[in-house]
Amino acid sequence: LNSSSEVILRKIFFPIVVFIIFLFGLSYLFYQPRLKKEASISSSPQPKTTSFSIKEKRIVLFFSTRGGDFLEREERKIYSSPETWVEIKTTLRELIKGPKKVALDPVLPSTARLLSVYLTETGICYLNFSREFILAHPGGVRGEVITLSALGYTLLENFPAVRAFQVLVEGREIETLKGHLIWDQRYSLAEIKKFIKVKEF
Amino acid sequence: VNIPEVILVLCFVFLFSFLHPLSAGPLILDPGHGGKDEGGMNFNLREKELVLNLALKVKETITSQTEIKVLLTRWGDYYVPLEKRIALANAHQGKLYLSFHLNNNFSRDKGETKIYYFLPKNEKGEEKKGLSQNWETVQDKYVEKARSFALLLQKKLKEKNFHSQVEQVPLILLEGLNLPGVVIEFRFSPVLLEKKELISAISSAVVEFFK
Repeated sequence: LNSSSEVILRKIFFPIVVFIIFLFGLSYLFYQPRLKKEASISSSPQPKTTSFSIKEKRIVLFFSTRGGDFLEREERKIYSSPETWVEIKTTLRELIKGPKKVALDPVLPSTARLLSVYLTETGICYLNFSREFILAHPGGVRGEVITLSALGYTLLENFPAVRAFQVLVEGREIETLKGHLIWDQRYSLAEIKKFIKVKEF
Repeated sequence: VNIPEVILVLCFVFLFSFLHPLSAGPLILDPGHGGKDEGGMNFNLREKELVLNLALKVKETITSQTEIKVLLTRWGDYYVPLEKRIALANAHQGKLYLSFHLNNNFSRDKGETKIYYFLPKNEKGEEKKGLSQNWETVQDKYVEKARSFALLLQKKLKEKNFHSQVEQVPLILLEGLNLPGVVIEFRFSPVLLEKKELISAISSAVVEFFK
């Protein structure tokens, strides 16, 4: 560097840099107490809202034992509703989540969604699932028997208003799931009981 | 037309049908899945390949020891629609239809061997029972024969120390089939499917059923 540029650096550039650093320091000292105050406000306990008394209902879900020879009960609690179809939807969403017991296996694909539930006056329940119900299913005669039976036992044991049920996918009747069982018909608990037994203790 | 000659020929045909009961109809072996339909998978093993190998071995054993005619619904790795498999069995007027599958479900342990036969449709089936030769109800009349074969196969498997269970479920795999049909879902184990005792048990059950 020549002497003129050294003078520029020393007399103009360095003071400017020092001044900018000073400004940043000053602004930090000024804003820090405010930030702390905001943080303390957000972490403070929220004022209590008026609590609604929502009743809970005990339900029984059915999952597969290892190897798929039997179904086994697992209890859960859901929020009760005056509408049966709402309770059915909540119950089957719990069934999709899978078992909590380590020794049990799922009965429905975890990616499947229950889109809607229709319950007729005569007690026929239509369960309308998303396409993942088919796409993510492992198939097999046993696999389909387990899914059909777990849905049947869960529905028909928890909801006495339901006499029989049928599965729809994306709003349409399905002939089969993965080409093993007949799915385009309604099933009652009496029929489901023929397919697979529930392990009793 | 020489009537005595015709009567003589008819008598021979009648006698021959008694002496050669195996001419009644072929055994139809159905290796499940195939082609784009791979079936189940376990440790990179494909159901479609394992069941095809098994069917070919069973066919080889039966045809080498007896005169039973054996047909397969597929001979290689290609897709055959379910309706076509059933139509093929019906067209050849088979005496018995055996569909081979492997046990597949959500469980990590894939489960034991199961022998299934047809459970007739309920309400919809009832509505159509009056109609003759309806696709949905045609298998209904063979349920008893299929059950007796399922129990016979279970017995033969047990004699060779293979555990199995017989169950009746609403199978679309057998819907429309105009002959007794059984679905065997073996344990998903290539070691099991390679065993000579297993193939021998299946062949032995078939031969006894055809007697």
